[in-house]
Amino acid sequence: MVTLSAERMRAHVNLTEHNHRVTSDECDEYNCIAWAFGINDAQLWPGIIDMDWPEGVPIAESELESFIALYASIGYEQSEGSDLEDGYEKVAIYGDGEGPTHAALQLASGDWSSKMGMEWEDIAHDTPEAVGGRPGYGRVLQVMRRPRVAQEA
Amino acid sequence: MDNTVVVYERPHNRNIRGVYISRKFALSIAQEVNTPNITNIDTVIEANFAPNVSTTAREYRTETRTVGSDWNQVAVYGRDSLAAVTRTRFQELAARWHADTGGISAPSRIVSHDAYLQIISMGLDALPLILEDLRKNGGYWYPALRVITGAWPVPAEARGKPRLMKEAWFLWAREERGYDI
Repeated sequence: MVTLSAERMRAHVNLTEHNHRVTSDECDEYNCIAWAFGINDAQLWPGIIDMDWPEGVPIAESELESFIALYASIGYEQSEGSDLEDGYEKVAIYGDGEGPTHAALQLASGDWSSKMGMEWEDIAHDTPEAVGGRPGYGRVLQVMRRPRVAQEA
Repeated sequence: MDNTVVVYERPHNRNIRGVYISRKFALSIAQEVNTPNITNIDTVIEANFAPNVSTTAREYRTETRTVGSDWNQVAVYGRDSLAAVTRTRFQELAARWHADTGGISAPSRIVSHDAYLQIISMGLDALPLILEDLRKNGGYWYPALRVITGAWPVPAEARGKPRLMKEAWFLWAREERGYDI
C-alpha cells in the first residue's frame, strides 16, 4: 500500500501509514473542493479570479456558506454525522479559525477520498478525522449528504 | 573588468536583506574598499546573512577577504553568473513554497507564504523562472504572474482550469516576451 511521503505526512498530524493510501499521482489540475464536487479538471474556490466557480451557484458572505451552496447545487443537504448511511453519499467540509480548508468525499465503502491541496495526490482515508487536526485541515465544519446515485467501484 | 558583479557582505549589519544597489553606490563602495582593479562595476549585491541571499552568496563564494572596515568581498563573477544566482535563489524559494503549500487548497494561504512573496518581490527577473517551474512542477503561480506582469491573458472559459491557464500564459510569454517556452 502506497502512502504519502514522510514529509507530506508530517503536514497532517493524524495521518499514519495505516489509515490512508494514495490513490492517484500528484497533479494540479483540480483541488479538493472540485474533487468532492465530482470534477477533475478545475480548481474551485469562490470569488477568486483565477479559480473556477459554477455559474448559478451563489457566492455567499462566508466561504463556508458558499461551499454549502456549491454542494447543495448538486443535491446535497446539510446533515449530522459522518457515519456511513445506506443509500447516501456524503461530503465533509473542513476548516479552522481562518476559514474552510478542505473537502472530502465519502466512498461507498465508508472510506473517504481527498484530493490533497492543489498539488498533491488523492488519498483514501478511513475516517474524516484522518486528515484533520493541526497541522492538517482542522476539523469538520459541516457534513452534507445526498442519495447515492452514481455507481462506484 | 567589464560585466563584473561583485558581492559584498556587511558583517556588522546583518539584519539588512540583500538588495541590488545603484551603479553610483557600487562605484563608491569599490572606491571605499580600495579595489582599483575593478573599474567597471555593473552591479553590487549587498549581501548579508538573511537566509536566502546569504545562502546564495556562500554557494558562489570564490574567496572572502576583508577589504575595509565594514565590508567583506565575498565573490566576483560575471554577468551570466548573476542569472545563476537569481535562478538558485528562485529554486530555493520555489522548492520551499511547493513543499509547504502543495497540500493546501485555500488560495489566500498559498499566496501569502513568505517564499511566494519573496519571489514576487524579485519582479520580472523571476518571470521566466516561474513559467519554467509552472511547466515542470505546476502549482498556483497565476497570482504571481498577474502581479509581476500586470497581464491577464486567460480567457474567461479557462478560468480555474490549470491546463488551459498554463496554455494561455505560455502563449502570452511567447508572443509578448519572446520566451521559448
